[in-house]
Amino acid sequence: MLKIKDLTVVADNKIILNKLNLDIETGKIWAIMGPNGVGKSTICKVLLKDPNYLIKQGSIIYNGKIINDLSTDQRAKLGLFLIAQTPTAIDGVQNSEMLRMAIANRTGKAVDILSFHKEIKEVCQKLDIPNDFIHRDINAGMSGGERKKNELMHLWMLKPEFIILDEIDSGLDVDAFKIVMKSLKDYYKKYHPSILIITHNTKVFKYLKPDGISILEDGKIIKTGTEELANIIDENGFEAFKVSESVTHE
Amino acid sequence: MNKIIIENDYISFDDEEVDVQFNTQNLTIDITNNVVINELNDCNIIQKLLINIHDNSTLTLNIFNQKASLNLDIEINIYDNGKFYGNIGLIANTENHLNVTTNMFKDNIENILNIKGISKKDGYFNIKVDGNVQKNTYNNMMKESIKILNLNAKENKILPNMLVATNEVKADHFVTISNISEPELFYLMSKGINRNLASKILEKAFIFSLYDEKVKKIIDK
Repeated sequence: MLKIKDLTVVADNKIILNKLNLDIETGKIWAIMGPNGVGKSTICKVLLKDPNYLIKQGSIIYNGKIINDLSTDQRAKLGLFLIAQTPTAIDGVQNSEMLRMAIANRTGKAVDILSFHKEIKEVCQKLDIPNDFIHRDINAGMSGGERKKNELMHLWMLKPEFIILDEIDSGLDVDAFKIVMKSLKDYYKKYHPSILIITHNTKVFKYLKPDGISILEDGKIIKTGTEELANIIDENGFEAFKVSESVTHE
Repeated sequence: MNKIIIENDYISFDDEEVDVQFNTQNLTIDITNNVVINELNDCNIIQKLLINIHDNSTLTLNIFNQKASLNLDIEINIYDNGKFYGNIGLIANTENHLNVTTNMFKDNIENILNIKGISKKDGYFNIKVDGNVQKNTYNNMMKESIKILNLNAKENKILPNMLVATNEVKADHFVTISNISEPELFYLMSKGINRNLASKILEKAFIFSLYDEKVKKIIDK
């Protein structure tokens, strides 16, 4: 489904990702782990063509097509969906207004208001959020947990095929974490999307069991393996995967 | 609600909410009790507007202008325990001149002025705001916020002044001239909305965040 081939990415004249390679098949869950500042979040942003990052070399291939030149909205229409570590807040734009436009833009058809409201109310119930979230400004004045639930409301309404989770646990208390992860698990069971998890918290894997884990350091994948890597990280931290001690897989 | 078309040079409002159209060049308005005035008509006839907010009275003034070339001086006199909430949204396709002077004459006054403007095509703003707090007044509060979204290469001039002649006042002012937020644009596009539509959504949101739901509905119509 998604292949990243020899990808080198630059921001502010600094190389952030260096000949990165990754291959995530349809319906698979893949995790990228690593300490802070190694380029994990950059992968998320580059996949959605954040204008702050420039691809110097390599390609992103989605369902067999190179998407390097596609704009952010074109990539979203193909099915890519990002939940950022700190989702952006926008004063004056309501969730319902944005979602109706996004659905219409994706499908090319006008949205049926009655079925839209019926569906979004069911989503609110599932996420344990009040119905008035529908008419609240996007993430404005919301706590970290509320923002993540708000993004999940968008996810359930837009039904993406490839989900990118950037530090999904950040800003969540214990209860909110359970609700968010259960909702993602339910979504996975229902729609079988591919999921790329960027995290340094292995608790996420209790809900979304990864088919593979890659360890990132200095913009490069230095080790790839199964969920066992998570156990090593829990016991020994990322120190266990220093470049000099590890075998590089790509 | 019926719209009041004002063609004389004087009117008073007492404890009411009114949709108005200023069809006169000079106008004086007296405010008593709790009044909301909505002027949302792209009216470019009015040039001088004087408003007196009397003791213990509150005025919420909502102005929206998106087509006309504006050339307007507003002076607002606020007396004892008076409250003024001004929300002025402007879209400039040509030159727009706006001077707002607020005078706080007595005590316990709240004076909050929010101005938001978008400069497009050949539009630009020349905005001057003077907030005056008089001598020997106490427990007053004054806030001025002026934000311009600049969508062309024209030069905008904003002059925010606070002229405070007393030691006891809470005052702050805030001025920005900026472009459309790239992170907000990226966010909307990441949901599948194209750049052009996302920009329009953000422009609308910028102005609409000034107003309550009722005013937003009127402008939307």
